[in-house]
Amino acid sequence: MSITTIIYGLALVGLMTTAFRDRDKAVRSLRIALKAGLNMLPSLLAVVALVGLILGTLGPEVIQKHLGTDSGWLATALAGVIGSITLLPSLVAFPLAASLLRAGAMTATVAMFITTLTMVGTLTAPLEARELGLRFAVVRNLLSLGAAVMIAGAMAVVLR
Amino acid sequence: MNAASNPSTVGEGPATRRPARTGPPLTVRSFLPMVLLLGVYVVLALTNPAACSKAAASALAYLGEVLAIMPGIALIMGLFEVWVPKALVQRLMGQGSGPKGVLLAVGLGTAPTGPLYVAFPIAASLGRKGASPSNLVIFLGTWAAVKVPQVMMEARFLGLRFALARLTLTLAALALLGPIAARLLAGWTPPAEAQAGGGAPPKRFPIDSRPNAKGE
Repeated sequence: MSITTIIYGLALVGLMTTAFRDRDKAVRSLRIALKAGLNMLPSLLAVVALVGLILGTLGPEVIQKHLGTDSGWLATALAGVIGSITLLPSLVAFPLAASLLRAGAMTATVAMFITTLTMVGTLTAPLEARELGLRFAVVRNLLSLGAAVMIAGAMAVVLR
Repeated sequence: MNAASNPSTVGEGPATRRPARTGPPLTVRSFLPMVLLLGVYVVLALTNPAACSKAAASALAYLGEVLAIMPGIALIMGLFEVWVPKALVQRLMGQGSGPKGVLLAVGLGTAPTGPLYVAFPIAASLGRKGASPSNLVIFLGTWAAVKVPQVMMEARFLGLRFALARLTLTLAALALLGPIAARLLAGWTPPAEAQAGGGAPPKRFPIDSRPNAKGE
């Protein structure tokens, strides 16, 4: 069962229950949903266009070329930069990370890449700032980057 | 049926019956970044057609993913705004909610999967209902990094040892991040509603013209 099914299942059951108990409430929740969706649309479209550009010019092959063979902390730092600015679905990210390990990258480099990939989002930062405020987005992303550095360092010690 | 204001919702009426927040209207200006980016695509198409078609293909695939999931998230947000009283979120996840709030943030973050950008509006909803910034940072962190299917996939491709070590370290890092975020984001409040249009007043109280909607 995919996440999409779960989300729509929940939404449908919730809406039906709401409509059954209080028609007014259901209408209001639909109105809020519509407004929220429309408000998010422009920035979402912009992020989508940006992600396409990044993936088109900085695909998995390019990433592997730069992080694969070269070991050393410079590669780890580069992994942090690339992980922070790219958005890859995990179905692409983990096989890519595995190929990096096989190509001779350090554990720290791979850990850095995955952690920044999941937790730091430069591309989605405008979206985050729009929803939660610029200060929140900056603090959260910087803290996550710090966490990624610590995690990468610790991974090098734990898994040597 | 609609009278006898619902006893099932916890908390007092007025907070529950908060009218729909009126967001900024969609303006032509809000589409400006997208138009600029489309311009970049055009330039790329003229200079490097191969890269452009690759970029367009990834963008379209990504767009499909986004459009499939976003309406569902919006519906759930609407239900959340209507049903969950502010006082409840404030008590469970607000300032001084303590370890219980942290646990709840972790639980909420682990429950669903989906890309992180899906979680931003959800976090904003929670924030408007009074959840503390540190709990929101923890919620977003677990949403991003601690998900069962994701850890399983990581274990399959990178080995169980790698996946478990990284998971443990990530949890430890999040435990550290919470208090630091609480300090750095002291006094933070979420934007009343996404601010693009500039029309939304900063007031965070019911401003709807008909506060007591249907004669209750």
